[in-house]
Amino acid sequence: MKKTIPILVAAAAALFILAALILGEPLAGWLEIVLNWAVIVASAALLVAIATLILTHLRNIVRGKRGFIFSIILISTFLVSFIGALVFGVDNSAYLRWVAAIQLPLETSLLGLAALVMTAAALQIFRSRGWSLLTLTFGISALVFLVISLGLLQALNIPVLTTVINYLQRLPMIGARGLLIGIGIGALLMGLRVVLGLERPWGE
Amino acid sequence: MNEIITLDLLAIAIVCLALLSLAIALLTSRKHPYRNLRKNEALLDAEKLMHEAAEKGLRLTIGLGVNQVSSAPAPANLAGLPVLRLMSRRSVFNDQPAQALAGDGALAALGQLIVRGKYQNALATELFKPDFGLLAGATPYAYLAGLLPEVNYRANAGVFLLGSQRPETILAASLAEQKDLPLVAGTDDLSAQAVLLATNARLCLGEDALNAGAALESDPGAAASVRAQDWLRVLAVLGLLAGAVLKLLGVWQ
Amino acid sequence: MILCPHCGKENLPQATRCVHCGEDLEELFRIEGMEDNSALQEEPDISVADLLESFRNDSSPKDEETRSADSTGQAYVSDSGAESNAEMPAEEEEQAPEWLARIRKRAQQEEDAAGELTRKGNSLDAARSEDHRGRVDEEFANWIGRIRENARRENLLMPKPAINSAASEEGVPEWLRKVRELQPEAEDGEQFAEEPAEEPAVEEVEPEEEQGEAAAQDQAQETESVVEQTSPEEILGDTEPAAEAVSELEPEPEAESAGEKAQPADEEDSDSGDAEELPESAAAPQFAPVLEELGLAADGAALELDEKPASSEELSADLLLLRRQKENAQILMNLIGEEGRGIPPAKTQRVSGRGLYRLILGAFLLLVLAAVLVFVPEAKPKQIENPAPAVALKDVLDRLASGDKVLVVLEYQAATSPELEQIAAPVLRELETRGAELQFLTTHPNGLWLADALMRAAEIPTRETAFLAGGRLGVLAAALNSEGNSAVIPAGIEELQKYELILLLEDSQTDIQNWIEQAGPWLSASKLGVLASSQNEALLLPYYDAGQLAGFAAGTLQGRVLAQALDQAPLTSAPSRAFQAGLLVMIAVILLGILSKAEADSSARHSKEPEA
Repeated sequence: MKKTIPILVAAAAALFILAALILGEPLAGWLEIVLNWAVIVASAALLVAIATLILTHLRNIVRGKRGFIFSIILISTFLVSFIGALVFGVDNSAYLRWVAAIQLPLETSLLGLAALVMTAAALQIFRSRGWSLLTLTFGISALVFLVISLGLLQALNIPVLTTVINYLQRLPMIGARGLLIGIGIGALLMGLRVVLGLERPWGE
Repeated sequence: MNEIITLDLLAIAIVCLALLSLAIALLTSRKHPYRNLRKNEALLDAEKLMHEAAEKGLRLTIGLGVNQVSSAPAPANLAGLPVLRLMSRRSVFNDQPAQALAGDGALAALGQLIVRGKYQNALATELFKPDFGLLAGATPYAYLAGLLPEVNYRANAGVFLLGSQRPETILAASLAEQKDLPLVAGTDDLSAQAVLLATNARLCLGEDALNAGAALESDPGAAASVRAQDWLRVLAVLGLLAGAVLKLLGVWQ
Repeated sequence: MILCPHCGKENLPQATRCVHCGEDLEELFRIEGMEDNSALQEEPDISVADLLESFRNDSSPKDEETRSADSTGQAYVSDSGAESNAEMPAEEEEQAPEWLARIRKRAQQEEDAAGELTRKGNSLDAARSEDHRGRVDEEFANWIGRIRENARRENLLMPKPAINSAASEEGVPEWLRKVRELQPEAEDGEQFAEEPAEEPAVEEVEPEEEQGEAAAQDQAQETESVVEQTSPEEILGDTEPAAEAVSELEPEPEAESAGEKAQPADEEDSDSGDAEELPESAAAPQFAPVLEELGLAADGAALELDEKPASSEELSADLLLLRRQKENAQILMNLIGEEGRGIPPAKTQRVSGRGLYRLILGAFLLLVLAAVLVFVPEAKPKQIENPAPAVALKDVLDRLASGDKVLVVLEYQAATSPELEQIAAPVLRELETRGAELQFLTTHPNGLWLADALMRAAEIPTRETAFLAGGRLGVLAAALNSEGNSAVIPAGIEELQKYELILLLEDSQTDIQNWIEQAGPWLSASKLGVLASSQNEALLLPYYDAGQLAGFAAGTLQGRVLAQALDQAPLTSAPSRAFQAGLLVMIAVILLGILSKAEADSSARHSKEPEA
């Protein structure tokens, strides 16, 4: 019974939403309620996860686990941000600027590091994966589109070249469409498995 | 309005077709669900990695990916959970249990549920700690910032990045490469797939990332789903070809 | 052991001649089945005698040669053999059965056969002189005694039934009593399991282990320090004589039930065998070849003759075995206690020099970018043909009139905000110029402060940014909100159908798909426009081609093109030259990677060719 109830709830919710989306008007009000519940539950899950994270780091501090300094930093910044939002409000421009001033450099640095790492990875890709159809096509397509992205060829304004470049720029669509169709089919079947109870992501 | 109705009918037809394919696949492969199944090499390597981690007494780290804040997980977000399930089952009594990190609250809760369930099944609830399934960060870059130290953990035997990963995850992949850690990655994000290809990760491209349960032979439903996917893919190809032919002939505009 | 009928001393069971007096142990020598001696009577005696005489005559020179070459013992053997035969009383010959007489005769005639054993025995006699006789006798006696003692120890090690323990007092087994005598302080805590040991050594390990575990549980604190500080080798290397005696003992039961003993015990025994080889006695070399020939090769571990067994060693053997069990049990307890706690992992060796090329490459890239930013002047943007999706978006923007509602949805991270601001700022400025009513919405918490920065970058008046919770569920709810009263939708946001344009600012595939897949079916295709980072261009093309998007501009290049098309100036902070420089570095790096791989393969091929 303990394992059956979650399956029944998941299946019922999925079937209801499908039916509401298809039938539309008769179930619109109920659909809105169900969606509200889902949003509340998802937000509550985030709160629980944050609480677990805070407790874990508190435990690390109390036990003096290796790296507990970072746990102290995390908890202190969390408390400062949380209390600041409670006191000043999330609409306060000064508060928003202060948060942006911390977050923006951090995330931009990570993205910059990612760019450097990508550069290094581009050097190593052939050494690590060897010569294969995948790596060769990857390398050739990367070179072509990097050159196109420079914009120098487009600036020449040669009609034939522009036509070729437009054609080349549409090529990724073919592969992307194939991948998206595949992912879509996979997601559809996974959703059906959740509805039918064959897939239980919530555990045993 | 007609367009919407047509689209709805088309959607219903596709869903019914998918249901039928799944049912047929389940019935026909009931006895031997994993026979003649197309398996992903990366996930087969994942299983070897689990054995090696157990033998060496090291830990496996799995990143479950990111999701929108306060949103329900999408199917692609759930791609890493079958691997986590198997990994947790095999590492209950290991020296270093598996570590799961998520970039979403719901994913973190699911991950912890799975790990706790495995410990309960093994009658070893006293060994379970909530630390085994953590929220690494509520936003994608916070998730990345929380993932990097865990990848850098000195007793890692390997790293898994399965789920909805962003291109910035290359930082974690590169760190694993620097530490000579085997990396298995699978994501639905096109940019992330391209970026991870440049690393030495064992990659699951496209929908292979969603079929972990079939590759690891831990879920007969997933195996049936893979077969159904293949049939639907064939139908999609036939449909595209038919549409192209019809358009060429001028029947369909 | 058999007793010599002549001198009454003990001899090995396989001996045919007494080592003390040299007499034959004939009456003990039995040949079974010799009653049926018809097969032996194949030839008449005369012919045999003649034959043997002829053999003797033929072999006599050889015998002489061998006698001269052999030791005196062998010569003595032949002589003593003849003497012994001569000394045999005639009475015994008459009384001996016929087959025995025949055998004796053959022994006299055929020295190499039956005489070999006697020769060896006689060689022992010859080797012994009067001077050595006493010492040899004494050492032999000691040797016999030790063998007897080892046998007794084996009997002691065998588990005895509690009933048979004659020395048990008040129902306490003798071994327990001995333990308590030697370890009186542990008497209160010890609770050894008393199990009957009526079975052979197969079950010996199990009750001993159970006893050891029970003892270890009670004496965990006392033996913990010992176990932690000592390793098996240290334990075995203990200088206590009892430990050495036990290590001598252990291979013996192991020899009997080698496949049944526990592995740690085996390893410890092998270590003990290697670590504690005691020197042999001086007379042992004299006995060694004899014993080897007799098939009684002395096992160095089993027959340590230097130490005399004593009663205390019997006691210590039992106790040390128990102590070893206790130590093993304590180790097991420690392992159980550490279960789930996780062993502190050993530090992995860091491979040096691996990250050097990364450092060089990163430094080179930064250097190039910095140099371009500093030294290269910003180029005037050139007029280039707009990509079709950007043109389509421009057309949508051109159709907007004053008062039209435009919903600007911010769904990007702070890291990509510079790029998105470059793309979006001219568009927002254009919309503001046209008089469109802009409303800002975000599904990410980041969007609250990023919207503020965007508005400042676009130089438009700051507006309130609404937060739509629930992610894709919130988007679906917003799309289904036909009456505009949904609790999920924040205040101020109307139904999506009322907006002329929903402009999405995206840097993530998931967010783009959410809007297109969740809200798209309820919106007309002309309502969705996307300004995205360059990495999402490939994803947006299929949706645009399918008519699910009105248009899009992805990347700073298309953003500049769009800005030019809208007659808006791009942001002054847009470093297009630095971007191009970065792209050039990437191109160079990829080419370098291809060339280095080709070069590595070529050199590997050349190195293989000379070997071939």
